[in-house]
Amino acid sequence: MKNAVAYLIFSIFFLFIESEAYSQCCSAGNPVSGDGQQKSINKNQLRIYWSFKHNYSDQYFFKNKKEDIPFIDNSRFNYSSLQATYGVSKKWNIQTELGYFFDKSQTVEIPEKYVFKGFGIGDLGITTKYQILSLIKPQSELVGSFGVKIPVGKFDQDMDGAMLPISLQPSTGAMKYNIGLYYSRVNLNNKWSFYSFLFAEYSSLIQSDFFYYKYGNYYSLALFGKYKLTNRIYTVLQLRQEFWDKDKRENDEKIESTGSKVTYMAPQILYNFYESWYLLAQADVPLYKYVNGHQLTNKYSFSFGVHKTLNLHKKSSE
Amino acid sequence: MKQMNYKSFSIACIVFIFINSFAISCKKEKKIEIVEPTVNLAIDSIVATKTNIVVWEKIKITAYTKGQNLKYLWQADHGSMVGKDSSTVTYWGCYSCTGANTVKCTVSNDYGSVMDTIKITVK
Repeated sequence: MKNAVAYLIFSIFFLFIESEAYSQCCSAGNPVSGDGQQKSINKNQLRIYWSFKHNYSDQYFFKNKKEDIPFIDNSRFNYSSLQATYGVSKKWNIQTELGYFFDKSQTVEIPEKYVFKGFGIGDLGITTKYQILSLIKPQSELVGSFGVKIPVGKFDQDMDGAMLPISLQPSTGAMKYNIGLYYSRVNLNNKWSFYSFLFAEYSSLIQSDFFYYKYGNYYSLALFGKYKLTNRIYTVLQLRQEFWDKDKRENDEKIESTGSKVTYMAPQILYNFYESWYLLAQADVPLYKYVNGHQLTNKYSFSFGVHKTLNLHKKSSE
Repeated sequence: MKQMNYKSFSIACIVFIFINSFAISCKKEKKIEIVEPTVNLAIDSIVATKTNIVVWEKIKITAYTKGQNLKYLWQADHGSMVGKDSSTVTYWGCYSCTGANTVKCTVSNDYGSVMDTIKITVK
């Protein structure tokens, strides 16, 4: 843990001196979605959020340096998800999320070009959130969460008679359990809001009689600010640190070229276009990346989405 | 007021049930029934051009079989394969595939399915 804190401080320092932007490669399971703010909603409110994410990877790294691997041209995915959050009570929210990979593919040269293509439903996420603390002055709240991801999608997808690699399967094939802590604070002039979260996810063993594989644990910490530019436009800047432990195979043997430490910057724009309808666009820009061993890293990713909060008591309101 | 709460709760439940039941209904598992090998369906052997390889090295793995109208399904616990629906696949392993990996071939026709495995070590 001491190392993690030391690395975080080191990474924040690097935010300001690292000029080259890196990113995360394709991996099994759902990409992170949502607007990241995770503010709780009121009793009997229902928030529907639809999003789309595109990711493109074409660079191999050894630790924090690029290296040339001629066999892999690129790896990419297009993913869309639907998320619903309901305020069961003033303090308690439940959330469910399901997504679909339209294209999760990799182009290789063997030596002729060949495209591995996976597609389909990802994992089903179910999360419950509880408002631990809520203050009026300053307007702030602390929310805790517990969630599970259930591998409802395909994990045995094949192409031309050969099974796709794990990283291209739409589902992780493993149950995942996560906990989170979210803090938000709105300033008195209502122009600025500040958010932060801590999140950890534990993966169980893949449910298969053929595989023995366990994904590494995942931890993230984020700090971000939201600024009200006009009555309808908000801008958000997020700094996020992610840690992935190494994956394990038979006999709990750690796999050397898995696991990473990544520092992200995620600028976001939010547009309130009609009553409680919001349009959102976000880019995830990894500023610094350290991978264990050799791993594929990506070039860019972006997402956009739309969300609306329905007040089920009245017609509709935010 | 109480009626309104029930109504709103019902709407939320419908949305949640729709998303979750759609997800669960999409989960389909391939169930392959393995039968005893016969002259109508059998894998005689699985042969690889090499069984000890280095990362990114490509090899050919071939299943020698008996039977007609055969369908092949190749699986590897670690590593990538290109099959093109044939008795031979091209196999290689990336950096996260180092170790003793299992490649499984399942062959099917009207008589059922048979399977065999081969170990490929990637260093």
